[in-house]
Amino acid sequence: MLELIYLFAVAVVLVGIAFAGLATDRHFIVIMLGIELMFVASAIALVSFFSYGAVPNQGAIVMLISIWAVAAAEIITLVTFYVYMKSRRIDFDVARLSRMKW
Amino acid sequence: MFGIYTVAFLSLAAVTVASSLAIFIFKRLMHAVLALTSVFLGSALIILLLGQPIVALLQLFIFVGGLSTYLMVAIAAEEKSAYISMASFIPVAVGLSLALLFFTSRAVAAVPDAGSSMAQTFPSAFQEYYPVLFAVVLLLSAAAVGSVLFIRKFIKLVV
Repeated sequence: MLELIYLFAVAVVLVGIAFAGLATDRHFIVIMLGIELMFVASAIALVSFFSYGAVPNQGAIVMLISIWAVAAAEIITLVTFYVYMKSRRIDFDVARLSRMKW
Repeated sequence: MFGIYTVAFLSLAAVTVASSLAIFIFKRLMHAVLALTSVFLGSALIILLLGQPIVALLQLFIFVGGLSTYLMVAIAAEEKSAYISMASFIPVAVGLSLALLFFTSRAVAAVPDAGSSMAQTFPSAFQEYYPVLFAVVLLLSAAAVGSVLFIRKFIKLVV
């Protein structure tokens, strides 16, 4: 069996890369993809901790389903905004997205 | 020195981390989405290595089968101006997937029993978590219906 620390390290590295991407990239869609990456990392960490736990816990499954649901909702929102912004020729640069309503 | 199980994990971890870096390195949006799909695939295989096949399968269904396909179709449909060259990416992706499949199929046979399997907990009572599960359903419904209404309103505005 693998050491828990290796799995946790992978999850932490993924979060670090996602956070670095969020901090440096200005493309709206890529930023959303970075957030999606954080969800994946959290799922890996959750399943890792669960797998090494001695007692099965239903709360972990509910948490996992919640993570998947929020990730799915984010993708739906992302595609909607992408189609809208692309069609209206709105700039994807978040530094220029100052208006909340068009 | 390293068993096949450790080698499989290290390969998967390397591919997953490299793909996550590629999301921010690739210039084309479609390539970034393909890199994210690779991360989804790698994470599902890591979960499989952990001895949680049901969770890995669900992760594959939801993320790779559902969300990535939806995202790719939407972006490919809109990316009309830029020609997306898949000539180099597809052979690499296929080769990588086959290599991963080879390593993981060898490793899964050697997976030791995990501390606890999520499959064992499914028959247990979930009553206390029903509000959370209903909130999840509401969230997804709101996102789906909201996006349809938003797009419909936008289409009426334009057409």
